[in-house]
Amino acid sequence: MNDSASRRADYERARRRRSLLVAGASSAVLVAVVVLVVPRMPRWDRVRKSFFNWDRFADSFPRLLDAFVLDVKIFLWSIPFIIVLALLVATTRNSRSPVLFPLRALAIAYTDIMRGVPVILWIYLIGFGVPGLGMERPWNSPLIWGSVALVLTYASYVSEVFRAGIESVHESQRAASRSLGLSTAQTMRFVVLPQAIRRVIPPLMNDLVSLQKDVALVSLIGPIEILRQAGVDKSKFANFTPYVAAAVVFLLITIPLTRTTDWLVERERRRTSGTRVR
Amino acid sequence: MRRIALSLLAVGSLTLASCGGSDSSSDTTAAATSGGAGNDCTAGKTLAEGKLTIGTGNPAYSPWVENDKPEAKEGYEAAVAYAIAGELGYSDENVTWVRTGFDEAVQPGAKNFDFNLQQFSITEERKQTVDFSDPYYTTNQAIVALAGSSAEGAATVADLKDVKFGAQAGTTSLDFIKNVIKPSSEPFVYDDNAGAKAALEAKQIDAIVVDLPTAFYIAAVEIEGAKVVGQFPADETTSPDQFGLVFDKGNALVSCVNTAIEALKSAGTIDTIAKTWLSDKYSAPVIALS
Amino acid sequence: MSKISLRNVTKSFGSHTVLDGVSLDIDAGQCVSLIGPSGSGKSTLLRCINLLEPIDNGEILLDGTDISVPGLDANPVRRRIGMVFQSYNLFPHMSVLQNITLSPVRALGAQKATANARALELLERFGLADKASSYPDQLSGGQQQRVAIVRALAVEPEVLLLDEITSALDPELVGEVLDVVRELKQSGMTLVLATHEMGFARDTSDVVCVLDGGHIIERGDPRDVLSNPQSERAQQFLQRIIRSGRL
Repeated sequence: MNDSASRRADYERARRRRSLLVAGASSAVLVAVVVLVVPRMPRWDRVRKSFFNWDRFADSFPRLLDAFVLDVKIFLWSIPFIIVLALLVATTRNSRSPVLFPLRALAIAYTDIMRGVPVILWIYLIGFGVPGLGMERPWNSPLIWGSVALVLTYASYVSEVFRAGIESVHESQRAASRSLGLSTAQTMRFVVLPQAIRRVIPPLMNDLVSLQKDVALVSLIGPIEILRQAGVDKSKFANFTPYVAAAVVFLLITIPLTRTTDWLVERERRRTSGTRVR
Repeated sequence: MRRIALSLLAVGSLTLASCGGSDSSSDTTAAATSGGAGNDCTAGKTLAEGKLTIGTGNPAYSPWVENDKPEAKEGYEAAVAYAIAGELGYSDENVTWVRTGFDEAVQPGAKNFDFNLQQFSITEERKQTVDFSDPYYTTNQAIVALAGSSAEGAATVADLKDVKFGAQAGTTSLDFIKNVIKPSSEPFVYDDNAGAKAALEAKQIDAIVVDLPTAFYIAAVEIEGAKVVGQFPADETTSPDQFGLVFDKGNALVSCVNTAIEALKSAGTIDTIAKTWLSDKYSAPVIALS
Repeated sequence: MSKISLRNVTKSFGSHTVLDGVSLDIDAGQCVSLIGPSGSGKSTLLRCINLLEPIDNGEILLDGTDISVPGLDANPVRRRIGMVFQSYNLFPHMSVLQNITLSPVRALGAQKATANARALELLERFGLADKASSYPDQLSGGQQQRVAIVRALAVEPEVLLLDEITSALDPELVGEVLDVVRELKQSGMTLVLATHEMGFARDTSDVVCVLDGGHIIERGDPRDVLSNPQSERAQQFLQRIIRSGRL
């Protein structure tokens, strides 16, 4: 028993060493290519001045960060509404009772229509159209109605993700739960949804990251957020570096977001699972 | 037989000589030569030889271009463009129109037009990346708002501090709001004036800043219940907006066009066009800058 | 009065008739085993009793009350009739303790502390106290099934339905589960089992019913039914069982 344990340990160690070597070598080659080859390309200098101009970057960055605060706000206040609406739509579509048929039909129509039209159109239609019906300020604010457009659109996508998760939970879980005397609603809330949501975290993160970027579309109906500010800077200085700076700001948020979620999911899995097959 | 052949040859060569391309070596003035395909000055300086390619907005608005059809020569800018083209020796068939965004026309880089006109104000900033012709129109910034709005009755810029403004991105109007009016709340910015107009109708903004003729058109025709609340005077710090044709940097055509504009101005053509398409009575209260 | 009475119960899935006029009386405290070939309707019968499947015709009575009335609220019934499944069906995202206390707290309105205490008591009784904070995926099959039984017991049912609860287990784990069932019988619980464990059926049940093609073709004392089946189908079935060494 001892012998085979150390034989496997030796093999693992050698294998790890080898993979580190390969990883290190390939990374070194990649870095070398970027650092040595790219600058030697013929028009690199012009591209660098146009897209990677350090002065422009440093000048725009604080302004962009400031404008990004609005994007973050819109993102944060939209998410809870999206999740609630998406859960409502998903559970409605999943319901089996005939009494709820009109609601089910409404849910299907809602998902089909919202998903079938580009988000940008909804921003215009709802962001200008609804206030145009004659509201007073502040109720007609483009921030409110732009966010409504985002919530309605994104909830339709997210509801389908939830629905996939719900349907992936085996029927036997419902059977067990109902046999214990829990109602349909309690079954959904304590047994099905927790499992469903855990299963669809990756595609859910997809939609969340996508939302974070689509928030910039609200700029079309007036508010100055990061994309608009980058555009203003670009026009003013005739340089694309502000867009590169904006991209960096976006990545500063989205990358930590996705890495943290992956880590959370992995931690949960480690806590609740048995062995993992290699 | 030979006589017929000879006379046929003579007729043939005469015909060939009389039709065909411009051979303007004997012309010294910049007058139109055969075919209406430009003059001495423009030779070799346009994108397509013998043709003039003009850019404008998509859509192009009144009163600058009527019905979004510059080919019909109706509207101030459409008329001026054809007047310049004619002065340069281009017949109407040799004028082609292309559409560009407002912003993309003044960004650096190769252009798909010989010149572009969509109410571009001549600014030092823009001169870094494009070339301008001499001005073909001069106007002031003006404010258009819905009747009864908080902008009405403003006598000085200070009265406008609490007004919610909207303007098109990348315009001198937006700069004017930010640098001169300096309102207490940030203006809303739109890709084009259509967005600003929609926001005004939805009462999301109180007022739009645009050039005076556009302001009057919006108030008179486009938005019900809108009025031109005031205009801003010309002064040294914010010189009046002067519109110029936009060319890509270093374009040799600029001097030819400037000669044409000069000629049209002294002939009074520009004034006539202005009288036809723009009101000569743009009366709006003047809002003091301080 | 019997605890549970089935009168002429019929159930079809589409055009396929699974239960064809089944009648059965189960007294309180009795242990009834249902045996028979696959597809004979054992599982379906159990699922009809706790109303997981609605019946097409006939009646099911609990303490004399018809619980098979269409549209009846099934939840109160299910608190009185519990069920344990072949594939345990524990909730993977909850610990053992949470699995057991979910229904008492949410459906029965018990206090968390009381429910926890009772759960630990039950776990202790069946030798699983040290697994209270483990997750289902970390337990062996036999442990999971015992937890499933404890979970069903936490609701304090009057009747327990056991649907082939040892069929998915390794032979050496079957024993520990059957021990639990024996203990339940001794404590006076009414039990209805669908099972292939003939030894258990013979030694522990009060009544054995043989199902075939949706009918109860034979019923009675285990020793009689298993050693001396009257009907031909029952004889054939038991022959096969004996040949496979399971009796």
